[in-house]
Amino acid sequence: MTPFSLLTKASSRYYFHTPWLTALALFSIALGVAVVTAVDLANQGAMDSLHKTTSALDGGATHQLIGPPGGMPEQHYPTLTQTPAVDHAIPVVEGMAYSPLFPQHPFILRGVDLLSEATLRPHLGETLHPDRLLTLLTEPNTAYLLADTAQQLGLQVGDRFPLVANGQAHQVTLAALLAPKNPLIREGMASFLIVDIATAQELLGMVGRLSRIDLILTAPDLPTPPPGTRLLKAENQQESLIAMTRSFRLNLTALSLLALLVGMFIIFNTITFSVVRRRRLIGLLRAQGVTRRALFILLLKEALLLAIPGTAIGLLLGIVLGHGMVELVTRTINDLYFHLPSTPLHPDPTSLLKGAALGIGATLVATLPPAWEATTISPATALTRSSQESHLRPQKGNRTLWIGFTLLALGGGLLLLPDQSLAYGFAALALLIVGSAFLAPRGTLLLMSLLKRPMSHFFGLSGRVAVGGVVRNLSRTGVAVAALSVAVATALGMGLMIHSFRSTVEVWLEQTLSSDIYISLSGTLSTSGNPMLKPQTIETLKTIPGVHQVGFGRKMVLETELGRLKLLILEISKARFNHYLFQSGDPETLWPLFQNGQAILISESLAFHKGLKVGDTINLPTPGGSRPFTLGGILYDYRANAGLIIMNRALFQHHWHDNGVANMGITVSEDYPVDQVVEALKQAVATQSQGENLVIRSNQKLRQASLDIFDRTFAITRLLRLLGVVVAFFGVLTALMAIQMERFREMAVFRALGLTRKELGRVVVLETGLLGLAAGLFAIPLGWLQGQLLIHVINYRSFGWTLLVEPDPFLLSQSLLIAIPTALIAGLFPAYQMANTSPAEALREA
Amino acid sequence: MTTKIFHTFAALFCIGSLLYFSTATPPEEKPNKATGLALTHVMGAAQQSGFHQAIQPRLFQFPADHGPHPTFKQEWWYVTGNVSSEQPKRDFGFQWTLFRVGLTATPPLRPSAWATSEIYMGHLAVTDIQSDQFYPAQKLARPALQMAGAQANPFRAWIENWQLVQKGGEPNKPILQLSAQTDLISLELTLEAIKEVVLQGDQGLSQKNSQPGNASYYYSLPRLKSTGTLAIKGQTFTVNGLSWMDREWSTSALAADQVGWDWFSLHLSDGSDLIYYQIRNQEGKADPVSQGALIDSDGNKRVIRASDIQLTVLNHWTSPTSHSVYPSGWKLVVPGLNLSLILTPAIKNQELNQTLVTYWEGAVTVDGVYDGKKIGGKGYGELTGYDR
Repeated sequence: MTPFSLLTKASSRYYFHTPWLTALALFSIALGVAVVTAVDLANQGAMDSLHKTTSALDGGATHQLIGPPGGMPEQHYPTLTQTPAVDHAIPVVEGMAYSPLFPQHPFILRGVDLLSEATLRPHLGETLHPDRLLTLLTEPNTAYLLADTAQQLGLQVGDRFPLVANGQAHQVTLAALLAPKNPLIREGMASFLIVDIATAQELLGMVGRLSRIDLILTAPDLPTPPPGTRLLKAENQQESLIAMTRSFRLNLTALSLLALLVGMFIIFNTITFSVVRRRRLIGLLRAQGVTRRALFILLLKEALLLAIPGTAIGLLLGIVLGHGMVELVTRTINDLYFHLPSTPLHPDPTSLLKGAALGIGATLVATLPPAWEATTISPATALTRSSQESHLRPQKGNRTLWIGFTLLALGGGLLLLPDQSLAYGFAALALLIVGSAFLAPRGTLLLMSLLKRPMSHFFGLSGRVAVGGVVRNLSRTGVAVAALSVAVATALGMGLMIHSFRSTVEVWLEQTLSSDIYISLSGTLSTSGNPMLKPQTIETLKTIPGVHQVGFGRKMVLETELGRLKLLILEISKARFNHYLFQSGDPETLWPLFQNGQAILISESLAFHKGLKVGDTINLPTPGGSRPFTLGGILYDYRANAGLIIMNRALFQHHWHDNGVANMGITVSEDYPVDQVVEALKQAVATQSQGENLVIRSNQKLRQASLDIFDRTFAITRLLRLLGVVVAFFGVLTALMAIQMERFREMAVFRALGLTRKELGRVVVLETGLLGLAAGLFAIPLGWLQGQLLIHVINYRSFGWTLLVEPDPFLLSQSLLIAIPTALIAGLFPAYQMANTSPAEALREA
Repeated sequence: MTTKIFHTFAALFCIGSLLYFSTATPPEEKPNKATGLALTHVMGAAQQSGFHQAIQPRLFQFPADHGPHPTFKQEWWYVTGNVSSEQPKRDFGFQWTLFRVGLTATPPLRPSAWATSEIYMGHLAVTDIQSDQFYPAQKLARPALQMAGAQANPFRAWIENWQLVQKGGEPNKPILQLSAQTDLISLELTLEAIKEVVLQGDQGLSQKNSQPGNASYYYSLPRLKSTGTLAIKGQTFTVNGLSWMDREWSTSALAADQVGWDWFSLHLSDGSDLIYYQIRNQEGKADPVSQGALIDSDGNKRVIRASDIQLTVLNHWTSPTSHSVYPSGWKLVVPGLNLSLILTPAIKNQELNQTLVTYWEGAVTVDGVYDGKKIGGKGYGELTGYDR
């Protein structure tokens, strides 16, 4: 038998003899890999869906000619078909619609010209039944729906259902069901109500106008796009969408890597522990002539044997988790950026490979320090146990301290770099975490020296023994405390960030939603064909008793040189204007400029992403061509990450010649209760408006609805945090149980010396409790730092959002709430086992 | 905050989206191939209510009858011809067709200009004989915003930039200008009628089977002197030759057991023109109402009935694209006229298969004997109902 196979045998025996520890180590690897893989799969899945759906649906259009809000004159279409550079042109009329029967299912009403679509791909004739085709073309108010959607809504061919479009109620007949073979197209179409282009014009009040024209150009560009339109390249558009969500996805990936980092600490702990525990064996092997190199390789091999099954399990778990997560990612992208169909997840082999590489790589990296450590064991010292701990304490302790401080300084330095890149932010965060971990052993010693007296005072002998145990086994307890505090701090930091964010949004909503009642047309999403409130409705509502002041608003999407931006058009009072939270610009001096149309406002995130500042001008496409607008102020705004421009209504009217408003904000006279006015408004609407479907909400309701959306967008972050906590919990369990299991023999000596079972159990639980306390306490500053980094660096660099509210310091106590109970639970099992093992047996076993 | 951004991905959706749609129709109404707007379907039994039928002969009036007849379900302006260039010496066939298909005879009044009760479909093809190349194309449009349409006076029929317009001549012997462009081919031809309008069938009533009403109104301009330019992939040829124009409108034509037709228009070297069409049933047999005519150089017409003619298929050709098997080469014998002709496709593959309807329409060359003398010529053949 060669020494090497003897080594292998020895190491496998070790892991088989501690099945619990082995299982927990596997589990922590698996969980870390699972989280990373799941997030990657979900990110990939969401982008894949975007990519495939757009490619599949655009069917080869190279460009889009986008009309101004309200559409472009339809005469542009025949002109374009005659333009030499145009190979194919497909007109589209599109807007939002909804049926009171299915309030949860708003439709995108898409008017198509089947004929120009068919020219592009002639198998239309084969796929649509001629009679169905004829119905759509010749009968007004007939529509197609996806078969799945129709089934979900309980609709059948021939059914008539009410549809509200452009604020008017109509009856629409379902003429055919569509069942595209491509699942991505099916998903993408779920909310589409397909009608003939003539029907779309009539339903959306766009007779004579087109929303856009999809083009296949033979030339790279149209020489002169018609006035008021913008020509966009299809591929650019898709790229810009992908770029738009890049920060968000990077953020998720980084958060998932944090979970892996926590997992790495656990692996590090497991391997370190196995090395420390087998010092004697290693010393013996070294004495017998096993080389350092062979030892090193052996330990790496051991790690690999843990890493491979752990990673495999992690990948499987990751796929399962990814299925749930892609939904959350898609929903967040929907809320923050743009509509994305949720598609089933197809595990991407690259994601799986990445996960596997990360899992195995992280395990090996975490193994390097203890493996290196093991090779430095000299045969002689290895044979004496006590040398280990003293060895680790003074000089080694100083070294770790220095490493820790160096890493922290590096991290701090990275933050000070002028380059505000998100990647540096995350690197700094990682350095901070690892650096603090190096400080944990010394911190534990310090804490124990402080606790020696009170422990002895409160718990007598058990307390003293427990403190002594922590100190004596520092090579293991120090690492465990480090791992536990990193895990807890991460969970804490993310919790702080979420809390700060939510509080900020609450404050912001409070300030921004300063009217008492909000009125909007239902089912109105911001597209060019946005329905507007009827002037007579506005007049009626103004006269309701209790209505004191009225403001107006309207939202639309603009394709600009800065990309796709949201334009908010406002007519508001000075008091409401003053309520806005300005990042730069003084509301007092800005108000007249805004009111006169000399300045517009932009959101902080837009300013951040595009490097804009007060005084800059930006060009916006207006029906009369591109026009410069001066930035007067920058507002804090958290509604969407795509970038927001706020413009006075008069200024908008001047350039767009469009007087429409889509929503109203009402301030109620002081002597009227808001609810009463809401009721009066609702009654007035019910009797006066012709088919308009208005949503009348009190400030409070709207605020709640907004917060609900916020909570939804943060569901994924919360989930990641929860997973971090779970990883931490199992990590601590592993670390602490390992320590206690290893001390069977030591405990048996205590028993033999006369410690009762109860006392012994108490020592074990106290010891783990102390470790939990140490970790919990260290996690407080570390978690707070992480939180600050996430709030002020990561979040700002990702989204350009300044969080105005500092997190509640009370939240920091959560760290103890997580750490101590976990530690105590971890102590229970070994305590029980030790107490129930006879000293003789334990002594023999060890 | 409550409103989500609705996104462009949706906007990108448009093109092609419907092309992937397949209707979830119950099995019994599963469409057959090429049904959508297929002529075979449109010309069949469905959706005829309210349209007029061709039941008895009528008085033709020009230029009025050059224009559309919206009370009938379908109608076409059909120009085929053979032209050649001298420098370099090249021969070409071409087809320019505009179909009008009525969707409903009783359209509701609607505010949108796009609301339509009919569809126009254009087919265009050029056969480059020496290069053995065929360039077919299709356009579909509704007669909204002047994108497609037809009018009698002044005569004009068009779909986007493909158009046929009168630029002179007499109403029944016009001079027409034909133009069409695609990314590959371009045609700009002046078509001058050498012979007057010829009414086909019984004074222009062309019976398709024994059922009254299963007929069309049908006239031809049999010989049009054609000069102008033809371009393929940027290379322009100055060409001249002869063309044939058919005009036909109807509501119902084929009976349930009739599957398609074979149609020939031939310009013979002695100045006479021959037309013959046979309607086939499912067994491939010609209906007894099939007929044709020989128009001599002075424009006198002599009717050729199915019983007068022997049309024998000499060869077959299988389309590599549609896998349809077409006859390819015929022997046409009219014993009563002492006429025997061999018709050979100028190139084999002249199948239009990127169109809603798959059919063969192509240039043919003619060789034979007429009244004891050797005769040549060029013409066009159309074979429908072979696709499966």
